[in-house]
Amino acid sequence: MIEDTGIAERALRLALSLPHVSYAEAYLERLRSVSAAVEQGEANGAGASERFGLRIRVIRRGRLYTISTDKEDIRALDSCLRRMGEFGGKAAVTSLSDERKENASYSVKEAIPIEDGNPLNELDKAEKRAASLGFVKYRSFYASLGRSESYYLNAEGTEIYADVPSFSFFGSIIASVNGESRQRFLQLGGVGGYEGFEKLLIDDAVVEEAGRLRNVMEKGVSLPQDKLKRIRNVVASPEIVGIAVHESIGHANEADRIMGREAAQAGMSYLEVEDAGKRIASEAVTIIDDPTIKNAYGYYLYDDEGVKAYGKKIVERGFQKEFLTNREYAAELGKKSNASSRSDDYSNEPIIRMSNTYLKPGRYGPDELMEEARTGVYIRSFMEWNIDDTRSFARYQGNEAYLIEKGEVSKPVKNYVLEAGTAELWNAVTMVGSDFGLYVGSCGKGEPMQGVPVTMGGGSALLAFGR
Amino acid sequence: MATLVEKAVRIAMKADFDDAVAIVKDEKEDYLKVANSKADSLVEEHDRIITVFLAKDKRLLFVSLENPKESVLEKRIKKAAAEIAAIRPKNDYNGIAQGRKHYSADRSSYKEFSNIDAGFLSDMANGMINGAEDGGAASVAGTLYLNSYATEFCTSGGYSGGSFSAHMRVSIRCFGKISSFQDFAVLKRAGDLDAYEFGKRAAEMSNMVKKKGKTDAGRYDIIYMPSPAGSLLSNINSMACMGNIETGSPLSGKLNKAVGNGGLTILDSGNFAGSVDYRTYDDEGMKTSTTEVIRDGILRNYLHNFSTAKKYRTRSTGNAGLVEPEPGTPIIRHRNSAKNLDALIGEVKKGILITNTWYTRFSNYLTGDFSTVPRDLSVMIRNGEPEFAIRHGGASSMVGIRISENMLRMAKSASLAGGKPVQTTSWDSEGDYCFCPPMLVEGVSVTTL
Repeated sequence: MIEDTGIAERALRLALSLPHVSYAEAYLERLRSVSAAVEQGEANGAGASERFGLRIRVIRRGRLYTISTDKEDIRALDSCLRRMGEFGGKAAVTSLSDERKENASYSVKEAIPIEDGNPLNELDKAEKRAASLGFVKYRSFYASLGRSESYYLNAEGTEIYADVPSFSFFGSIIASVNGESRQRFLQLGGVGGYEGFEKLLIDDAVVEEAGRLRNVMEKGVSLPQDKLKRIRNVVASPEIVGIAVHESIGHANEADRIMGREAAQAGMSYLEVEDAGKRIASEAVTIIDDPTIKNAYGYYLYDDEGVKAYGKKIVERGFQKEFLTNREYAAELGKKSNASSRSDDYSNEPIIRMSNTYLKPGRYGPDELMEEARTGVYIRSFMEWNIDDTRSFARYQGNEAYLIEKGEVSKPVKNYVLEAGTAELWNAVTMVGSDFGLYVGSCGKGEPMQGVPVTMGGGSALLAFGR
Repeated sequence: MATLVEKAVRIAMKADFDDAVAIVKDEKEDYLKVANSKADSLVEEHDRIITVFLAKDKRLLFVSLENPKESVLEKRIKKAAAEIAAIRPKNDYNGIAQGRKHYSADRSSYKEFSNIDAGFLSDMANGMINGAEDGGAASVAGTLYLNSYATEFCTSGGYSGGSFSAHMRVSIRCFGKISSFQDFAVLKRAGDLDAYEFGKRAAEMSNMVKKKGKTDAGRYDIIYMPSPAGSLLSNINSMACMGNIETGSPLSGKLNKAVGNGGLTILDSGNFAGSVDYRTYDDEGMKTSTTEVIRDGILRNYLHNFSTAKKYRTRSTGNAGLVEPEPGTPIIRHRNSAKNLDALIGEVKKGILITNTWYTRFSNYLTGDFSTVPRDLSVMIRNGEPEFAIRHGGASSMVGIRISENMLRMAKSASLAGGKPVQTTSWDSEGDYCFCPPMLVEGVSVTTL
């Protein structure tokens, strides 16, 4: 835990002493990380980073200011705050929702402190095993171990200490068989001690994915476009469900996006404020965003505005249930914040973000989904994906996909792409599997672009288009 | 008196490292966000980060510290001397550039922006909003971004120096009745932009076409405005960096072969006049230059630092990043050019004008297969005339089409430019800049909602 919080306390007092300041908060953060990269068998350097800085947010005359500095000198901050320029004319007036005063301290258990680990060991194992396969022609592996210690306090007396160690892995492999190539990105990660990093079993995951790429290339068929277009039943794995949940439901339910604050950056939403409570999916669909899932990559117990986090339903049985909010947009909606305010580090403004977002598992085994589909496609993983800025029209490329024939998974199909409108996709969900997986990602939003750790997933889903 | 970076290199060499490079960057960034036709909020960031690259027996370590005291820096470098033994060697590492040169800093653009405050940004935002509203925009969003930084560097190879840089980036997104339109301005001097006119023009563009309609999936000739053309074709320069050539690039093994249209030339420059990213030296102190990546459709050069150049028995192109070669500013040109955008539209029988794209994602970096999503004004063109704005959804920004492409196919099918290259960027390219003209690419695969 950060011990010397004096500068944050002094900064808060200073901000509140300035004329016309109605609200202030301070966020102090120390970030430490080590990283390693291995490319084509060569150790491409190791890194060590240490950062420490302070962010102050202030509302003065209704205008919202965020100032960050790494100068551990109250005089430098004083000068920043006093120089805080006026932005007038056509300007927004910001107010915040009333929230409970919190006083908390939390940390994550570590059997092996994250600092005692060396990410290079696991990368070397993965590299050796992937290279030994012979057909994985290009290999790039990167891993990072880090710790964020933070201290938050605000004018209302909320005070939160947090100590969160985390670990992540990113790998790119390109397998090549008979003159054909296929690429896979693999992201793994979590929150906790070094033992969590070891448990990722990176080498096993890399070897398994490489084998799957080879299988698709060796045994896969390419179907003609007209046949692909006639496919109506699709079983989506938790990985595919996860990216679809994140892109077309999670982002679309961010209140700042709905209300236009991201319009010039990460875009808009097909939802409007008036769409609250509207049916946006089939009855089989319940979607949850839960930052409190232990050891999940998007874990936190209090958000970056000191609001206590909880699992919230974004969609319940097909109906839009809750927009993701921070205090600013909760106030706009006349509600309490649901603790979705996050920044990627102390230097950037906290904005509305997802955490661990998933489709609530159903009661069917994956085999039952295949049986119900009878004929169609099972899509297990993707490489390329994108969506328009209103979150209405998405594409998930079937990096690993199979035909479903007579209710069973059969041969791989090389060129299947799931491209559908959001409403069409979520209304097509007829069954949700009891299986469950969460997949790691870094979610980008805002300007400056902020990447925050998230997970996305859920149970498998049967999409019966046109039914 | 020795600077912090000189001291860092001195401490490193005393600690028996073979090579050391220290770079300190003192940066200030201001973002005034515009949303719903109002100035929304202001973010001001200050940081000072020193990064020290250390090499010993081909083992490489990067240490990055935020605003450290000298004693902390010294302690950290000494700790690194113990840590580096645990790192595996990079066997193909060949050291850093050797020479003797001090680069002195040019403060001109830095001074230009030094007195700008929130009041100036606010006035500019209001000018932009007023212009857009007068131009017919129903709603306006955007960002006014001001960046200034000072860097100093020193290498054990004998190079040192510093630089100052400052620029502004203004983005606007106007929402009209039929469509939306996003535009970017990149400024090296604050007075270079008439914010009111910039806003008005963007609003007028969003209302450029009076009709909306749907289109079918199929192949179209696409005219990309400079922002999408540049953000897509700039990938070529990343793909030409030696690190990427070694880990999977469609340009691998294609040196001196045709990879683009015969009229297409793509340069990579560290010191192109007027470029926001102008610098006279790279991260290991080599003088920056302009390198032909593609000349008249032929792949001429990969981009190197000292170490990769030595490995491949060539010369550094002055593209050293601290880890591996990095692209400078892409400059995209075409020998065949229509007079301007209107003339380029006049050349197209059946096609689409794309003014903005985002969410470009590759399915395979080795083959260069990718897809991207047009957002904002996309105009159906028939017989050289704009016909209607493509809209497959309710919102005015909802185009509802997707482009599936291959980077080399795109380069080969880029048949005609529509004027001179302009400096541009996009939200999607995260602050990377390039120079690019409007570009016609033939036979592009388009799918629809």
